Amino acid sequence: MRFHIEHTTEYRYSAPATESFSELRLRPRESLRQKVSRHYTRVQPAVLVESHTDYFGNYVETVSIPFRHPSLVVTSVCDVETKELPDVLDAVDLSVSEARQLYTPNRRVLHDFLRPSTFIQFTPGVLELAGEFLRPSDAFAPSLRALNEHLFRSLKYRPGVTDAGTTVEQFLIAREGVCQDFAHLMISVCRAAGIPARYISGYIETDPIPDPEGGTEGTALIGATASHAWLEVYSPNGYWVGLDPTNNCLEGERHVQIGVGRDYADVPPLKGIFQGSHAQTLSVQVRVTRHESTERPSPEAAETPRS
Amino acid sequence: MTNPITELQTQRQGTGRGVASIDERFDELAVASPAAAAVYRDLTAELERSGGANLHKVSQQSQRLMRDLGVTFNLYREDAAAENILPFDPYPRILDRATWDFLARGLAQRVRVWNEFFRDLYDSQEVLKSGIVPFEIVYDDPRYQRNAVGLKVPEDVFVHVAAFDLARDRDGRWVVIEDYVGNTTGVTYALSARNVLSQAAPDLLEHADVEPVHSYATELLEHLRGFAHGSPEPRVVLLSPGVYNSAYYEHSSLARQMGIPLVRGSDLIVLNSRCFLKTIGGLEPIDVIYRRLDESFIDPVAFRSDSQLGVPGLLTCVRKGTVTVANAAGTGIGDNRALSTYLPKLSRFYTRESLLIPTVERRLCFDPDQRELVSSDLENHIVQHVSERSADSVWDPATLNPEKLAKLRERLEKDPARYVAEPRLPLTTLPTVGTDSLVPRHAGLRCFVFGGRKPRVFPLALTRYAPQPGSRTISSGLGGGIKDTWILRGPDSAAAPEARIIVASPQRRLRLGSRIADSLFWMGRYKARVENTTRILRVVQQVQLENPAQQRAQSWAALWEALARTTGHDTHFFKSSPLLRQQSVSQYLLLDRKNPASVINGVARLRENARVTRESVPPEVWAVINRLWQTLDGAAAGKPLNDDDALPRIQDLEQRILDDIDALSGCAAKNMLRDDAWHFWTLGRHVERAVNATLVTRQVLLKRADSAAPVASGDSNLDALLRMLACQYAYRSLYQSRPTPEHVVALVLQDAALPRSVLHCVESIRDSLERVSGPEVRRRDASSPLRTAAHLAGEVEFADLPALFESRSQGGNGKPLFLDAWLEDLAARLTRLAVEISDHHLYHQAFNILR
Repeated sequence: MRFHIEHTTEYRYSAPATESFSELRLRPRESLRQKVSRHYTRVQPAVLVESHTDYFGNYVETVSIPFRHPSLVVTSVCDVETKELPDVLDAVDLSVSEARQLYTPNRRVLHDFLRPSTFIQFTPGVLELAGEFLRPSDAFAPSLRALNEHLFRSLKYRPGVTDAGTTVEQFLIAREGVCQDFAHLMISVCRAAGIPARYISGYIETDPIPDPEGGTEGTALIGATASHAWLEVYSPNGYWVGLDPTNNCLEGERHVQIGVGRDYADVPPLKGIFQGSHAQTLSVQVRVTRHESTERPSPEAAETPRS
Repeated sequence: MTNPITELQTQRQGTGRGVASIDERFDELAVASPAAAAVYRDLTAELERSGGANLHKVSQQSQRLMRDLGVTFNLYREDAAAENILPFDPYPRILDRATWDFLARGLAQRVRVWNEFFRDLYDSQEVLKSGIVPFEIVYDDPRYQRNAVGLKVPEDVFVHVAAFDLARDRDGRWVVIEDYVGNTTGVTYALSARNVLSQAAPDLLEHADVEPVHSYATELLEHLRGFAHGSPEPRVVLLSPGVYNSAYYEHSSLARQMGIPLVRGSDLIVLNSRCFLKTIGGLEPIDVIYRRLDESFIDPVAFRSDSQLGVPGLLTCVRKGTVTVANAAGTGIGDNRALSTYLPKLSRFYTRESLLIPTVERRLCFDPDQRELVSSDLENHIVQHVSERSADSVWDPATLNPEKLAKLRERLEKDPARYVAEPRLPLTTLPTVGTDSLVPRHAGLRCFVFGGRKPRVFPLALTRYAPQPGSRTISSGLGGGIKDTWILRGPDSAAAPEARIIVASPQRRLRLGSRIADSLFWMGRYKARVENTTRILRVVQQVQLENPAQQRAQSWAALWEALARTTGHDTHFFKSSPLLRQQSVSQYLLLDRKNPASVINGVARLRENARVTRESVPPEVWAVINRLWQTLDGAAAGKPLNDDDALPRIQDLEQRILDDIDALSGCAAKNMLRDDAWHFWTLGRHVERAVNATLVTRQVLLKRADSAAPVASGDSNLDALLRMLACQYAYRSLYQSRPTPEHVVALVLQDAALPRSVLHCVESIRDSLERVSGPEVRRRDASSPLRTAAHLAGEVEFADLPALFESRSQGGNGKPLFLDAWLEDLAARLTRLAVEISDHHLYHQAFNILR
């Protein structure tokens, strides 16, 4: 599938900032599953954008604004093609403990994805889930699917309850949250069970919204949040496999990956420091359009804090 | 290769007869070489000759000098009392040439190994792939900087400056007990020790031929400049976390001795992958940053975002190779004691050499066998956190109560990878001056190395000792003291390398840093603001007291409005406020900490700004500001000013504030150099004063919101206005009659001879801006505040006041509307001028890059 994505982030300061510096992680990554045919980032006020690749291979752009500006608007535009890959997860017929044995030669490379990190903690609630779903004798692929489904069924998707700093334990108590919380929780459970897992930030094309005129073939789609997060686990056959507990599915053609990291802290889409102002309001608009579609008026933009 | 340790031991065996008494008392003497032992004997004889009196005198004198020099060690607290004077002992440690040469070879080797390790770690990580070092040690350490992987540094040098703590056991063997390859401290204490000793006991130094230390700072600067990226005139700055850091004394004194700016993160800015220092003249490109800030703070975007200490985007400059950070980002993991324990293996891995000086025997608790060794004999170990270096991350099990001991064991069981344990430190004892005799005290040695392709160990060392008998606590943060260290010169004494002359012509001098200028500017503004508020309040109160007959609040409305306006309130503030009982107003305006415009808050900000510019403010000026602060702080602690008999206290307080302010003006005028710093202090005062004079004049004279008529001649409010601006005598000497509105406005606005007139202030602003702008920025530059100031000065000087007075509104309330509008506009433009000055010289909104 080919997607056209427009992602606009706007910071509006309470008083104009005198200077600011930001790091952007907005360009979708290249992988077996997806190919980026075009990408550019536009910044207002207009300044030079520099780029580099970070430790986890993500494309990073940096922006320095050394003069007074009332707001900062970053727009990332890209065309991405995704394709379905064969199901590598269900090809693994092993127990969890056998899988763990097979990780040993790669322990050094996988180490970062087996340890706690900023948002990944082995709390009692996490350990309990690991003991329930990923026991050493459990079958590797089915139990991961079961855990994915369990999180989807037992926790509620609800924006606005949690924020970018919510911990897994807080999520387990509140029992409602957004994709980032689902991803952090499932990563924690996998790592606690000795299965390497990493955080994926990206976009998702969400289900069609029924056309008010009666048709149901709407194809320009906006979900609750088109910005999305999920996770990948390292399968013993050498592939990273994407799981999406927010939607109870495996990563598919409608997922577009931006960045990978240990958790959200490694891949925030926009991270900045500004001076001269005490507060800011943030608004994000993401529009994911499938290329085959005919032009339709833009649906109402989702304007929520970044989850 | 000959083993230098056995070399030393052989030398020792050859002598040692006839010195039994002091050799037995102090074990360092027992292991010292003959040359060093001879000096020790001499010194001991000299100091003990005259008995206790001489010892006592020297000791007292050095302590006084330490205080005078301000050799302090800050604890992280705000109050000045937290500056602790380090104990100093005049009895030096002596190292003969052979010993020093051995240490120098060993430590240079150690720096080379560390540097190879960092080069590999932040590149292909062969050392981890081959399993020489367990990767968990690195990957689980928060100081492993993933963002620094792949960064290229000039000449592959990561460790530019290093230090090592050494101990010597009773057999004379040296071991390294601590490696400092990230951020090294302590060198200024070594320099101060020599400074103090040479003043307190100059004759002692005559007993030996000792390596001089005075060129350390210049050589360090030359060394750092050598790592600039191809700039013909490399600019070096010292980046410090600021006054609350425990090593701030060291940062400021080192920067002064090196002659480079001491900067904080907000003084630097990143623009198009280049790092600049904000100065009042513009943005100066910086080539080398000698950071004395923990690396996890240097770039809040790349590293820790919970801190504002660093420079956002600094890492992008390092990535592009436009700036060198010394030591390189990523070296902080060298604090990890487990890594230091692997150093012998690293040395063989990278250089196939064995280490000349080993690391102290240290057990790594993540290894089950070593952990077992530790827990089975816990009382004979010192347990330390694997990388934390604070005082509360060291445990001596022998001194812990059973409960704490159990807790420690629990920690070791639960998270063993976080701990290492060492058998008790093998420190020798040195002679130390006691109350009436020399006493043995345990001491350690810190040495300083310049890293690079050929590391050089500077002939300078710091000896730290434990003042308590039997104690091995030598850390300065825990009460340890310092001694001078004498490195004896020998025939083969290696000469310092030739100075690297990089610039043929003298450099353009760096201009005053913008942050310092900003603080001086605000010091000036707060000083004038505090004075204005106090003076106006006092005049309002006096006028009312002098005219008890006129009790109608209406008569004084204009004065209250003026007071409200100049203290940042709405014109009607006092009218509608329940504060209007005079005593409450005084409490509110003078002492209320919740009122942002109160005098006490103004003085607090004045003092805070003075504190952060201590380098540019003469101590006499600081003393007056401090006195002013105490006046207000004392008054605030006393009875509030809102009871019925408070009036005398109010008047007394106002008088004291104004006296202190006058003392401050006089003291600053007498003691401050007429340099850039002076001009910003002046700009601040005159901007504030000009705005204030304009607003007060307009409010009293013209803007009587609820009154139909303007102020008439002879109105007592006119008299009050003159008193508010402290120019009633100037008026009388000029006009010799009761005040008329026309004359008052002419005086207050246009009399250049009157220091409080608007014209005088604006002309002074123009002159100061002319001085700080320098020849290259002249009035042609449309955005320059100088142009605005010159324009304003001309306009005020030549304003046709009589005409403005004439233009009264037709049939209205008779107010001179044009004058009213003109004054309001003037105040607004003066306020904008202050913003222009800040933008142009301090915040660089115009970002003119200097070339």
